[in-house]
Amino acid sequence: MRTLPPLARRRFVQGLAAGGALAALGGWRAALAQSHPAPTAELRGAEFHLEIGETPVNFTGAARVATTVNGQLPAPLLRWREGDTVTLHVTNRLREQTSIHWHGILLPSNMDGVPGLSFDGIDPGQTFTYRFDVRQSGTYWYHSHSGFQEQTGLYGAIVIDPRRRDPIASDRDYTVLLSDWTDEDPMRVFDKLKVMPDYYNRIQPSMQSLADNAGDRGWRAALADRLMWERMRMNPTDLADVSGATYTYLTNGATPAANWTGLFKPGERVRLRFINGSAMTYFDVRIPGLTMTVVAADGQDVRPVDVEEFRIGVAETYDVIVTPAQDRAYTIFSQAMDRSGYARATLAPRAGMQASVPEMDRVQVLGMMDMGMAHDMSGSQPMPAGHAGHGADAGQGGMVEVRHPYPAERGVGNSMLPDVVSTRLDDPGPGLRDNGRRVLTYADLRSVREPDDNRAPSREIELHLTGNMERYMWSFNGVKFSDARPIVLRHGERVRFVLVNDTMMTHPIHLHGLWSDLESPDGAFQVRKHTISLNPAQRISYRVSADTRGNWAYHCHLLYHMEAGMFRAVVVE
Amino acid sequence: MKDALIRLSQAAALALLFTAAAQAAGGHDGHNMSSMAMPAATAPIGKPGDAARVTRTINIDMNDAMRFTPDRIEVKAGETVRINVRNVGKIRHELVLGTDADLKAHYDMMMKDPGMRHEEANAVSLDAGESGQIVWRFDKAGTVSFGCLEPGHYSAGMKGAVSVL
Repeated sequence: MRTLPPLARRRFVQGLAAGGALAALGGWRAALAQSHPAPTAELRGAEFHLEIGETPVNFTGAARVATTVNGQLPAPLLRWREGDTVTLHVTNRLREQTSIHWHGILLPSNMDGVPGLSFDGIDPGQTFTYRFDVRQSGTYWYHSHSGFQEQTGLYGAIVIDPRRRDPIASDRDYTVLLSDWTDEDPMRVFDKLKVMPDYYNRIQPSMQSLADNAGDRGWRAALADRLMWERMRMNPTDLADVSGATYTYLTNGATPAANWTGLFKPGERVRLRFINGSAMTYFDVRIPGLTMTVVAADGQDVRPVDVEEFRIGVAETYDVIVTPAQDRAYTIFSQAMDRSGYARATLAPRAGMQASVPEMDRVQVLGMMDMGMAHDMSGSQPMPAGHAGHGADAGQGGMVEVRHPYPAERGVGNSMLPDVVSTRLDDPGPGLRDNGRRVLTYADLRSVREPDDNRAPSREIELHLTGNMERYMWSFNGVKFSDARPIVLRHGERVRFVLVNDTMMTHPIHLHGLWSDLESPDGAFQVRKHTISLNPAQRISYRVSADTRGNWAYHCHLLYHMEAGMFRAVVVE
Repeated sequence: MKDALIRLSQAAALALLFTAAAQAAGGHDGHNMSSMAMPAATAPIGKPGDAARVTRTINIDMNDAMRFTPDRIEVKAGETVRINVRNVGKIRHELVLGTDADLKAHYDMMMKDPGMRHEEANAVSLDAGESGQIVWRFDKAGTVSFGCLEPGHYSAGMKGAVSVL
């Protein structure tokens, strides 16, 4: 294992105070003199010129090159108005093909920006003009859908102001875009994962932990436990494939040390639009000292709910309102789900103020429920409230035996099959259970508006999320994209998608172009989303109205999982 | 939004014309007008009250659970009431007085064209934490409904009723 000297390691995790995109100052020499990251521009209006290029950056003390828009990382915030027609001229100044996908935006398929599926991509030197009507409002984002450009910096926020007065009034309005930066070449990261999938996992059970475990429970139980994990080709600390061992986590492009700061006056209502623009990282977000009122999810207004913490899956967005009353700083603390690092930012009455940064939570290893086993044999993982033992809480979806209808799910494409899965929308997920804080779950999310098309689905499509972690293979139903046929929907039909997570990892599943209307465990419409996150051994269903023709991407939004084949085309005919 | 307001006021003007026509026709020879659909807006719900004649004040809270508290109130016919409305939620709510049919029609219009805003005397629209009031004279016995016509709220059950005794 590579080890960094303590000081270098600290700088690597915390980042440089002066990190960020440096192009504006003209090259490497100027970079050294830079004292603040260039603030990300906000572009308003109906016509935009976006130039994709390479920009030198330095987040950790090592000079690197990022993929940027107009020289910025994150890319400029685009502010649109519901009802406008927007025109976006995107010019490629890279040496490779590029693309921009407008995540969560309803548009014609040929404007969706997925090379090979919705258009040809944008070749070097070329300009592609996107044009579409804006038919929604809220918080969204955009990113490259080419290669690993999303990992190297090509992501930015979209805020669409509603045509009517916004029902969520606030005195301040900030986007808070979380992301993960690596100094490594993402292709190398991917190759390392393929050769050695736990390369970045620094929390594997060691001989010492086996001995500790044996001390508590006896060697026989401890060894049986270890053997069981090995047979499953899984490992109970397998929370994230790519971790703080290579990542520096950013808030609005700023490292924890650079400390992005949003200003407020005590008593003001501050709207924070959280966007997870990471390639691979789920974040658990809290602001010690403040209650967060969640008012929107994936751009859609939800009935307000007060929480102390929420988990944001890759590609999800959550809008929250906070009302800091005191004349002091508050830390926006976003720890990576695997607790290998964190992003940090600050809300403060004056620039330069800061609050203490909490310790990261302890790692919680996965338990029997996450493995889809009926009994909690290991005793290592408490069940969430209401789900102890058999029967569980029918209201949020108790355990059900799972059918595995696809023979292809067995074999190398999928190394484990859970016996029981459950919907448990009220489960905050691994690492957040029973942590003493009020944590948001999907059970809390209820759209304010019902969908215009709220018909019951006429048929059901069941897909299993499958993987073989030891070989870094990821797929739907054990078949990776290159071997799979598209999912065909008839124009105008309403379909229920049932997703069953057969793996032990958490996956954010994104359907382009069409809403995913999450169902409650009793089959009623609950909340409209564009990205649905599934915990290990979880079963979730949602409705889709096939109301826009064309080819749509449907994939796990963990970048390396998508690249590995956890991707399907959905065709609306 | 301007268009929507204009359209709304046109609809209201049209409704008034209908009322006048119906009353005129009715007053003439008692001809049966039932074949002519009466616009809902003409149903009697009372009229804006004179603040000097207020005999009673009623407090109503609006919240994010999509409810009014209380959602049932009683007044006497002929009474002028001040309704103090407080938005205790985190998102905008409004209280609009009307008949059920009227509220439903307005709500459907709001869903199609959410640019509309209610600033008439029978309505109060409040951002989070704000308070406002309606002074209203309820002149005929019966039931006057109220609702929040923000998209999604009315259909989620954010409605109530005034029993005029």
